[in-house]
Amino acid sequence: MAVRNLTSAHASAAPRTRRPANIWQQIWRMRLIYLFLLPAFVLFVIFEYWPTFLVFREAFYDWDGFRINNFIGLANFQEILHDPTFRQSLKNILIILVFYLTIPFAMPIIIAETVFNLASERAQKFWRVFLLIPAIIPFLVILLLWQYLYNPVPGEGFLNNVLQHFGQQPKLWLASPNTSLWSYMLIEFPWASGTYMLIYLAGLQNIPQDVVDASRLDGASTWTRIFRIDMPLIMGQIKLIAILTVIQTLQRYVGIYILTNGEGGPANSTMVPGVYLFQKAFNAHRLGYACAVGLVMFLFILALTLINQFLIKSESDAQEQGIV
Amino acid sequence: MDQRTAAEAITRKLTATRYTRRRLLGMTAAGAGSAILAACGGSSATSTPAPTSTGGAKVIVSTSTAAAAAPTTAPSAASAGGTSPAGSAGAPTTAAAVSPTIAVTRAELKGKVTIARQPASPLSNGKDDPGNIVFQQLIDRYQKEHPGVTMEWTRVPGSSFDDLYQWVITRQSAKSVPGIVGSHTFTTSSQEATNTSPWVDLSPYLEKSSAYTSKPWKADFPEDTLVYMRESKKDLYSVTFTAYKAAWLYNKNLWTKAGLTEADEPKTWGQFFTVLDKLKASGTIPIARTGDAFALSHAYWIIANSVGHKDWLAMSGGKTFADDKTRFTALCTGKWKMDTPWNRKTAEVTKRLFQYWPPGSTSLTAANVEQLFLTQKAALWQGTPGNQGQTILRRVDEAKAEGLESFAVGAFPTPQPDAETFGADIAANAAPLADDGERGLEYGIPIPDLRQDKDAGVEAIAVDWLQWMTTPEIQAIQVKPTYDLPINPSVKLDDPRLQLFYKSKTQLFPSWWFYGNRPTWIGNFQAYLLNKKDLDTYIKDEQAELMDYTQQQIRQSKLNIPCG
Repeated sequence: MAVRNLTSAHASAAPRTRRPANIWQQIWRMRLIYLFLLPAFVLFVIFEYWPTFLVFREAFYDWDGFRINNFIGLANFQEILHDPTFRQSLKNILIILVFYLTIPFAMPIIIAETVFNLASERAQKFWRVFLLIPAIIPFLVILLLWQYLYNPVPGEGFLNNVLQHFGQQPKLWLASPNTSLWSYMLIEFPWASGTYMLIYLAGLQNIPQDVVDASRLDGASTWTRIFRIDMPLIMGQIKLIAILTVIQTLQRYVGIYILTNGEGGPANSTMVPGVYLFQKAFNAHRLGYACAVGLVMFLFILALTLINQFLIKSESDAQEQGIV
Repeated sequence: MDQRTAAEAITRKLTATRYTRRRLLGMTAAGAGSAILAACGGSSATSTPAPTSTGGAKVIVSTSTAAAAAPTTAPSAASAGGTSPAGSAGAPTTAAAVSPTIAVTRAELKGKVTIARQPASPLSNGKDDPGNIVFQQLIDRYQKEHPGVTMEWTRVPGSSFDDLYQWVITRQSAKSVPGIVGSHTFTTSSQEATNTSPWVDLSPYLEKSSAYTSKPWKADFPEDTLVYMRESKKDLYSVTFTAYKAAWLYNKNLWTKAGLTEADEPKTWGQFFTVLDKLKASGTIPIARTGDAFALSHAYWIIANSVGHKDWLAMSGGKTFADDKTRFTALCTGKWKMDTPWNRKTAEVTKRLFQYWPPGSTSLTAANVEQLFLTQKAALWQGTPGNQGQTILRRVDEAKAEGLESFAVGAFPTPQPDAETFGADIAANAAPLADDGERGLEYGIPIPDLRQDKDAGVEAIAVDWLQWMTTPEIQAIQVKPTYDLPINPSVKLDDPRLQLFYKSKTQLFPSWWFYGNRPTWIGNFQAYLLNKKDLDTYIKDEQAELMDYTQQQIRQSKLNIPCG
C-alpha cells in the first residue's frame, strides 16, 4: 500500500509528458499561417518554379516554341560543346566577370571606408545621398547616354569629339572588336555602386566602437585598422556582394543587347551567354537549345557560388580566429 | 479639437517653419530634378527637319482599269464614306478624276475580324505615321461600306521582323491568331508538303472573280509577283499590297561636290567603286548603311544570287526556285557547297563595299544612317521609296515643303557584275543583278484551328477585305501618303524619281540564304569584314554553320534526309 501510494503520489507529482506532435498535427496547429502563405506559394510555384522546371525539361528537347517539341536527349548539350559562338560568349563573360571582381568590386568598399571615416556627420549624410542618386536613374537611360557618347561617326559622338579636340584619333568604341568589350565595361564608370556602398557602410557602422578605440590605443594606424579590423568584420557583406556580383554578371544581357542592337557586337566581340540565349530562343526559334544554354549557365553560376562560399570567410570565422 | 483650433495650429506650424540651409538645399534639388524631368520629356530636338505630311505622292490610276471597274450598282455609302489621308488637301491627283467608286457592298458579310499589323514608327515630331493613319481610315471606310462587319486593328508591338515573327509564333502557340495577319513569313514548302500549313490557301480565291473588279482577283497582281511569292510551293498562302523595289538614292549636291554628274551613275561594279572613291575623296561618307545583319546580308545576298545563278540552276535542275528537300539534299550530299569561286568573290566584293560605309557602322541603327543621309553627311542610301517603314523620300519632300535645308536626289539600280571586279568567268556566268526580290509585308488568313476570331464568316470577310484592298481605288489611297509602290499594276506614282523603281522588274531569284534564316551568319561574316578572320576561315565556318542550320531544319520539318 505504501509503495502503491508512493507510486501514485510520485505519479501525481511528476509532470505530464506529451507525445511529440507529428508533422501533420504541427501543420494543423499552424493552419492559419499556412493559409496566408498559400497564395504566395502557389504564385511562386506557377511563375518561378514551374518555368524553371520547364527550362530543365526542354533543354533535352528540340522545341521551336510552337509545334515542334521532340525529345533529343543530350544533343543540345553536345552541340553547345562545339558551338564557337557559345565559346566566344563564355570567354567574354569570364573576362567581364574577372574585371567586375576587381576595380568595380573594390570601389564601393573604398568609397564606403572614405565616407565612414569622414569627420563630419553632415558630410557623411550628404555623400550617402549623393552617391545613391545614380542608382535611381533607369539603366536604359544610362545605356542610351553611352550610345551617344560612343557614337563612332565623325562629329557625332562626344568622346570622339573630345579626342579630336586633343589631337587624338577617334575610336570606334563599340563598333570595333578590339575595343568593344572594354567600351562596354567602361559604361558603369566609376563603378561607385550606391547600393553596394550602403551595404558596406552599414557593415562598417556595425563594428563595435570599443574595438576601434582599442586599436587606436594600441597604436594601430588607419590602414592597419582598415585591413586588420574593418575588412574581416565586414566579410559577410563582402561575401554577399561577391556572390551577387558573380550571379548578376554571368546573367548580364540587357545592356549588351541594347548597346549592340541585339547582335552581340561586331564579330560577336561582346556576345555573352544571355544575349546568345535570347537570340537562339527568339531569332533562331530554338527554344530547346536556349534552355540548354540556360541550364549550362545555371550550373556554372552554382559552381562559382559554391567556390565563393568556400573561399570567402565571414565574420563568424573572424571571431574564431580571435580578431574580435 | 475644433476646426478653428486645428486651423490655427496648422497656421502656427507653417509660419513657425524656418527655412534652414538644409531645407533650402532640398527644395532646390527637388526643383532642379523636376526641371530636368520636364526637359527630358516631350519630343527630342533633332537636327533634321520635323516632317509633316506634304500631301504625299501623286497617284495615277490608269483610266482603262478605272472604266472596267465602274460599278453597275448605284453609288452608296462608298463615295460618302470616302476619306482622304491626313494632309492630302491641296495635292491634286489624277486618280480623283478617274477613280472608280467602290459601290459594291456585300450585305451577306457579317461578323468581326481582327487585323494584326505592325504599325510604322511615329514621325520624329511625335505624330503618327501617315501610313498608320490611312490604314485605320481604310478599315473605318470598309466597315461603313459593309455595315455587318466589325474590324479591329491590333497593333503588333515592336518594329523589327523578329518582333513581328515572335508575336505571330506566340499567337499560333496559343491558337489566338487574328483573322488577318500582316507578316513576312508564311507557309514553307515543307509545311505544304506535309499538309501542316498554318495559313489558309488563297490560290482558289485568286482564281475566282473579285467582287470589286469582276475579274479574277489575280489580275490585281503582276504575274511575276505571284510567281515570286509562290516560290517552289504549289499554292499561295498570302498576298501583298505593295511592291518591293529598291535602288541606290544619291544626294545630288554631294554628287556634284565630288565632281560627278548624272552620266557617272554607275552601270558596273568597277564604275561603282570609282564613284565611291571620288565621294570619299571629297570628304563625304560615301554610303549611309548599317553594318548589321539585315544590311550586310542584303548586300551579300543580291550579289550571290546573281553570280551564283549558274550553280544554283545546276543544283535545282534548272528551276528558279527549289523546295526545302532539294536544297537540303544538295547541301547534305555535297552537291551544293559554299567554297566556290563565286561565293568567295561575293565575300570579297561585299568587304570592299563595306569600306565605304560609315565608320563604326556595325553599331549604327537604321535611324542613325537615315540621319546621315538627311543631314547631307552621306551621299548614298540604299532602299525602297517607302516600303517597310523606309521614309527617305517622304522626309526629303517634307523638308522641302517646310523650307528647310534639303536636296535633290537621283537614283540608280545596283550595278551589274563585270569582269574587272568579279573576274571574267564569274561575270560571264552571272545572271542580271536585281535589287529586289524581298517581299513587302504580306497578309494571310490563319487556319480556323488557330484563329482568335471564331465567327463562321471570318474567312469570307477576310478574303473580301483583301480583295477590296488591292482594288485600284483603295491602292491609290493607301500609297499616296507613304510613297509605297502599289502592287496593282493599274496604279502608278507619278514621280520622276520613282520611274527607275518602276523599271526594275521583279527579278525572280530565291531568298535561300537570307540571314533571317541563319542569325549565326552575321558574327562570322563581321569577323571577316573586320579582319578577325581570313577568307578561308570565313568560308569554312560558313559551311559548318550552314550545315548546322540545315540539320536543324531537317529535324524540325521531319524530312527524311540523311545529313551529317
